[in-house]
Amino acid sequence: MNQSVLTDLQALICPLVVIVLGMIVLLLDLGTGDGPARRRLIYFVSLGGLVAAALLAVANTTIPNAGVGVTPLTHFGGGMVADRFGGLFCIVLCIIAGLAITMSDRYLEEKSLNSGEYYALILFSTSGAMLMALAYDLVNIFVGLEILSVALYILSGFARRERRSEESAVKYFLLGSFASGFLLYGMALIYGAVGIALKNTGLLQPTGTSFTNLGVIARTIQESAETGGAPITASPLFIAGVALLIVGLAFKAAIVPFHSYAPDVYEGAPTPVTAFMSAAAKVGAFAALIRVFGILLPADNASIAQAAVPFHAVLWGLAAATIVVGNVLAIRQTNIKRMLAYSSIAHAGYILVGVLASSVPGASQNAKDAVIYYLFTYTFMNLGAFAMVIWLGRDGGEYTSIADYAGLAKQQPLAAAAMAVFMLSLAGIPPAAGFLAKLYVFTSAVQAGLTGLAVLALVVSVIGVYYYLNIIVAMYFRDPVNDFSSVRAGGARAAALLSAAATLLFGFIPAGVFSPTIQRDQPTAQPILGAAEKSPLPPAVAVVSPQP
Amino acid sequence: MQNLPLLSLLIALPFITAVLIGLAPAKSARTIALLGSLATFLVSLPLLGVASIAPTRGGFAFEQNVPWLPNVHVSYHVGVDGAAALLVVLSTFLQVFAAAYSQETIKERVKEFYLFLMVLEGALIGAFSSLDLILFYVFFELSLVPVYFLIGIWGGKHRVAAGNKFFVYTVVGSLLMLVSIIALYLRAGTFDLLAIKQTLVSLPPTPTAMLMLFTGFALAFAVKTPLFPFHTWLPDAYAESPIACTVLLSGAMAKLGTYGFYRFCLFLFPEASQQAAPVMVTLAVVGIIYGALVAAVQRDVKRVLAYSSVSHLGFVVLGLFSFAANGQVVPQALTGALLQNINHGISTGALFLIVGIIETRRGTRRINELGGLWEQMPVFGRLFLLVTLSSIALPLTNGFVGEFLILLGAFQAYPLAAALATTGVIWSAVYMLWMFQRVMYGPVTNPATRRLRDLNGGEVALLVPFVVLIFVFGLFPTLFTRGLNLSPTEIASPASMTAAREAAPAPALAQGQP
Repeated sequence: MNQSVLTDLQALICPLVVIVLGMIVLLLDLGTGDGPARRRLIYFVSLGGLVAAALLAVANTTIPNAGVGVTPLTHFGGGMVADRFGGLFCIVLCIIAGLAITMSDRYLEEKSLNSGEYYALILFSTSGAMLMALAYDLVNIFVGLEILSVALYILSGFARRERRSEESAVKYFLLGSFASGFLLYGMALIYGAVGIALKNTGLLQPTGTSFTNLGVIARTIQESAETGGAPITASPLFIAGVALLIVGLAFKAAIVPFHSYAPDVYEGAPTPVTAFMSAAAKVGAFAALIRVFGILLPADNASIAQAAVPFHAVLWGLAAATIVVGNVLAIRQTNIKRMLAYSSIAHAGYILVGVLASSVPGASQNAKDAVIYYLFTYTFMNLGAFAMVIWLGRDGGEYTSIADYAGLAKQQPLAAAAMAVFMLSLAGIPPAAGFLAKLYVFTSAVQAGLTGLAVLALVVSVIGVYYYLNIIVAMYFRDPVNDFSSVRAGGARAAALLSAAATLLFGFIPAGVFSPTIQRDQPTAQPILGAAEKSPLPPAVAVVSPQP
Repeated sequence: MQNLPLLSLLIALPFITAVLIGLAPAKSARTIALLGSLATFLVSLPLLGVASIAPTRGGFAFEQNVPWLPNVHVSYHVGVDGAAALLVVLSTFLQVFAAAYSQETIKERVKEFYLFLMVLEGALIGAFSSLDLILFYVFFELSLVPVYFLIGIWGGKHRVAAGNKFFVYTVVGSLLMLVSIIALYLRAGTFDLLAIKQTLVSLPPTPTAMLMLFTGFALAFAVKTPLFPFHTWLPDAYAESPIACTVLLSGAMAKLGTYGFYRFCLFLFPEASQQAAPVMVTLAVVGIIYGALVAAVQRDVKRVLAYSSVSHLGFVVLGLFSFAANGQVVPQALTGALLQNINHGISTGALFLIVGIIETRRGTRRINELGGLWEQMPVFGRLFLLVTLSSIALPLTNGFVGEFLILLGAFQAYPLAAALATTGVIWSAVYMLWMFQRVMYGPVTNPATRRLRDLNGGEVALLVPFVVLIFVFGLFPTLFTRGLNLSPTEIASPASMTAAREAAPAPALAQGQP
């Protein structure tokens, strides 16, 4: 018994360390005297703790992923799961929190914001996202999401003396609460559908688990299909539940049409918070999306797959819309934070392409790895770009207009070069890491039969090239309008340069555990770009029609 | 000799030079760049042997194959055949003159200028010698970045618009190529060019799929070359970029497009290339005539040359696809096309340097503000005339050999297209000589011309090597054609790659074959 508790705890070591770290930071904030020494202590304790948490999570990355054919290694009565997938997400989240904290030091000082609460909230929020990645029960996913979100609501209003920050917090809170409601309602409907199915088929509920447990749901789906009756995936309750679940998670990941809050919230929130939430909320939401869809819409069984067809179509449409809307609306932005907000929407679309591919057998493992790699590199390039905005600000203010950065290359060549690296990487130009991320995701998409979507995404991503270049045009091709001789620097510079180095480096060398191993197709004589591509629903078609 | 990592050294040298420029004080940037370019050029000279003695017909020399991203079977696989070797040497040659020319003309942000110039050279050499699709794609795209900055920072009045157009346009093309590359990877399990070729031979996809894969590659190269109607970025980019960049852009980088057709389209998809040949040949001929006619009415010397490039590169594409259509009968079309690739680089590189000299002295490139330059600059006039004659393919110059071989081949495959293309030769005489006449002859209309001085020793040294090469290639073309004189089986059959395969067996291939 003790042994099992220990393994349970070890599986969840990463979020546990981060939560405890958050509490320690709060205590330090209360217990020690005021002043710069305390700020520095809290700063370094937080960073050190995150490094430790990330290192502890590495152990979990050797456990095979839960999925088809692999019984997941669950903990806490089946409510949590420890696998490679969750472990990698935890590490990415540690990096996000670490960079966000690193870039906050001078910013908080200049705005005279309380650093203890701030760091603790970032840590709590991070642990929430980690729980989402490790959860194996719908209820746990919801709890993780709320921990993530509530802390983010507070953080976005953290500069409470600024109107825009207040507005941002209120908008985020109101819309976020609605989204949580949708999510919870969806979970309740799925709970009901599973319960009915278990009762009808006379299957006994395994003791100690609930109808919201993903393992139970997976088994119920499987057995309801095998008993010959209508599979649970075809029941209206279940379909409505999944639909609402999509809405809730899509909101957190800022997927069109649930994205409209993002630009306002990103613009109004304190910049380090924007940086943090642009990555952390997405990572949490995508982890949950992949985990949940792998279970709820398994594509490896013909009769179940049929029921999944409409959802694949919906996700296809959402991904296409997100990529198009995010990229198109980003063009007209003159505010760099809003531009990055729309760009992050576009990137959510690319990631969603990978998520969609992950629900297709054969491409599933590749796609999951590709999505994780994408989020890993996205973290560096996106947080790096926000860190630049903080780095170049001063006297409690920031240059938020793109035109403000004119001539930066003449005054701060290093800063301009780092920003150019982020922009080229976000645009997917090799040899920056953003290119490999796109390559991996689109490779898995083509493999999953989503060639049409991959082509669309690639073509639309050219629009991205245009607006990212706008920033380079300003920095390098225009004459200076602002004086960048005295800038904020500090942790923001460290975070930006670190991110730039990582962005460049991971374009050249494999990124260790994060590098996906993309296997090729089975060497059959299937057409590469055959009929599957013309159909609007390639994955499902490929599944339903048995291979010759 | 064959086992020297010569290509890696060649790729690395420009990047090392770029790093040195970055670290050194701004004052020494010029010197370091010139020395680095010279060193790269000297190191590249052994590659000429690949073209002239053809030690590996249809295979690759100086091959090196090291895993790079083993997780997705991307390898650092480089090697050159005759065509690629000549293009690498052409790039390093032009780079020396681009760097030398810029010594006096680039005054501001000197350090960054040479840094970008060196990165561009490195990317070009890398792209010409890549035998891995991802490696090629990375260099292909990387080459855009320095050009973008070169145009955007040191370019003319409309530099920002020209740079953006250039960048976005070429990226669109190459993204479609990326889709084709991904599809090939999923079939072959590797990005290695030779292993992919083997898979395509042993497990051929449907003809439709082949054609789609071909189209992805062809669009990228059509934009890069550029082939009509994908040429609209070119006049602005050429006209707005600084001379050194235009020289590399037109002389070497545009060859990425024509070389890409040869290396990837003709090699991987010979059947699809054959199917697509009528379309490609039509576009090439339209480009030849259209480019020539538009060049004739330009008012800016640089734009005349820009449109002339559209016309001349149309000949190269005509040759390549005449060969693809009927290669057994007309192997000379390929030889001509590959040779013309180099010839165009030499002539156009020299012509753009000449425009640069005119512009620095007179402060304008507008034809109607020039005139009567010969009186003041007779030495310059003679050199300019020789290069002009080479550009219009006068016999004894390099241009003649290439265009003659191309037309000879094209006549047997597409008589009508060849006949129409031949008028392009006449048109090029029209626009080039007319431009030359208005710039160099006639009365001096502008008093500023009176103050011009003739070329100094350095400038003569800048142009004379080009003139020498024009005659070397014109009189002794066979010196370099042995490596280019390939039959269709040699460029498109895996049997010819035996040498290369034995040198470096593709790892993913072995496990893929049941």
